[in-house]
Amino acid sequence: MRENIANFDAASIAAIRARHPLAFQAPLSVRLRNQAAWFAFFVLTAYCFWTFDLSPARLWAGSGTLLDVASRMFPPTVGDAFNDYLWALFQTIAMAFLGTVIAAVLAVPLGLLCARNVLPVRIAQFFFRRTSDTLRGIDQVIWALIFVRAVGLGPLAGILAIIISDTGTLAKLYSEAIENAEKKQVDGIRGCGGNPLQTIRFGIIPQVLPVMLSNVLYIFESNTRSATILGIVGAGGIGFYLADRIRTMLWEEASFIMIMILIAVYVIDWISKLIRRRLIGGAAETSGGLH
Amino acid sequence: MSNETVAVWRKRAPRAELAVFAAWVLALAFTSWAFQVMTQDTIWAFVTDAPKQAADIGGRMLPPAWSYIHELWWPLWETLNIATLGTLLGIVLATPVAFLAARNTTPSRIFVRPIALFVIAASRSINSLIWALLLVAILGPGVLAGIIAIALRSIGFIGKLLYESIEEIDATQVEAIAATGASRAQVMAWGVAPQVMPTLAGISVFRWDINIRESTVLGLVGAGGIGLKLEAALGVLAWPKVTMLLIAILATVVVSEWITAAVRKRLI
Repeated sequence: MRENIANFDAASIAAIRARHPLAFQAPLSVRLRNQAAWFAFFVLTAYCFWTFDLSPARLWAGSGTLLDVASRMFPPTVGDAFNDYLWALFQTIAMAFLGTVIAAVLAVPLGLLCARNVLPVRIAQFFFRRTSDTLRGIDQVIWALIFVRAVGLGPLAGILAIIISDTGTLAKLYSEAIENAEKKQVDGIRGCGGNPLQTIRFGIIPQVLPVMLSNVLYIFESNTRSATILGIVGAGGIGFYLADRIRTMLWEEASFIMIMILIAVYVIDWISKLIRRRLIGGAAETSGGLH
Repeated sequence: MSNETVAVWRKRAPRAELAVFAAWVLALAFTSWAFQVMTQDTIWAFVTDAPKQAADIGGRMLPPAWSYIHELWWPLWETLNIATLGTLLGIVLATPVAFLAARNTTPSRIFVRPIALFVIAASRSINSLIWALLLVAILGPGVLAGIIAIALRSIGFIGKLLYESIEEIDATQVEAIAATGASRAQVMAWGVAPQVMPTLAGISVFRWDINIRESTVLGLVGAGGIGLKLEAALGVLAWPKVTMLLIAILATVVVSEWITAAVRKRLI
């Protein structure tokens, strides 16, 4: 074999090329289409950069300022408001936690109503799905902004924003888990004469509970990250101080707050990972025990 | 007497029972603590007033100011561009970081890999709104700050998912390329890249969808897009305009989600 390959001279390669042109090159039409697509892509990108005035000169000027700001961020300094920061950080975590808990509960009925196998009525399902799409389609910060106008500045607006947007997200995740649940157990409960509520309680919920809890923990993690910014629009928490320090260009204090946020997010990620591993591990164990 | 020999069936062993009980107590304690932290700063007059306020605002929000849509095309186009160009820039920046972070492609596990992992973690932990806030202060308000904020936030997301998929590639193909005498760059181009390309495409489209959503709010801190209009409309309490803006934002998000779903279906 080895000699064979080595013995190929230019002429025989050319012969093979002539016999199987498509093995060496895509057909002309495909090549032209691909090139046209890439060309259009680059032209569009260049046009967009041009319309929004993204010149290298601007970037260069910005990078100078960036270095200046970065150097002013060190060393991170506490300032005289450490207790305020700590309190605001607790408030942020409390917002994320309470918001997630309430959303997790509210999303259960909505998730059930969105699931195809629980409510097989097309129109109702369409209505409930679009409701949850609307809730999660509008960003949390926008909800926060609206609630700040409605209930005033403070953590309440933030909690309401978290509840509203995450009810939508969790309802979607729940309904996906419910639709993936096995039918046999549902049929079993129904076969014993269980009414619809009992079917849901004993046929579906035990199957999807670990998945649901894992989703809730994931959303809690994501909320501790996103709750840090609700303060920027006045909805309570550490974001208020961060936005304030950045706007007044107190860079070393801003970097201190950012480090505090990073640590808090890490700790919560770590705890949530531990719990999630136990939950999913436990679920794997029970199903392993059955077989 | 015989009672003692009969086993009593329980759902859980005593220790497990205790653990479950403790977990519930902890959860309840944490909830009540959280509630206390929350309510300390709440002005209850506002809360009791809230349903009335909400009804009032709801009344003012309808009907939406339909004709306002003509002023929204340009901000929507800006938002779309912030998300798209930001995602593109994010992909360009995240790809090398992912290759440096993956255990099987990194040049040095001791020096380079931790740095790459730190870049990914830092980018992921800081929300794009905070990036935007920083960049508006540095570069001045405008679309550029938004694009870079989206790109910086995307590095972590794309980088993490990409390096995980690089670590899971089939090593035999890489070995086959290496055995032909290919250089390191050629191994990357012909052994690794083709295997992760579909994943990268999937991740990028996914992130683009998220970025569309995030770029609608960047304007709130001055980073361009439709958020600027929203801030302005909310600032003067022009509720019919706010409704129109919400409808426009929602429509954009729904369309982007639809496109994402269609592209992902074709990729998979």
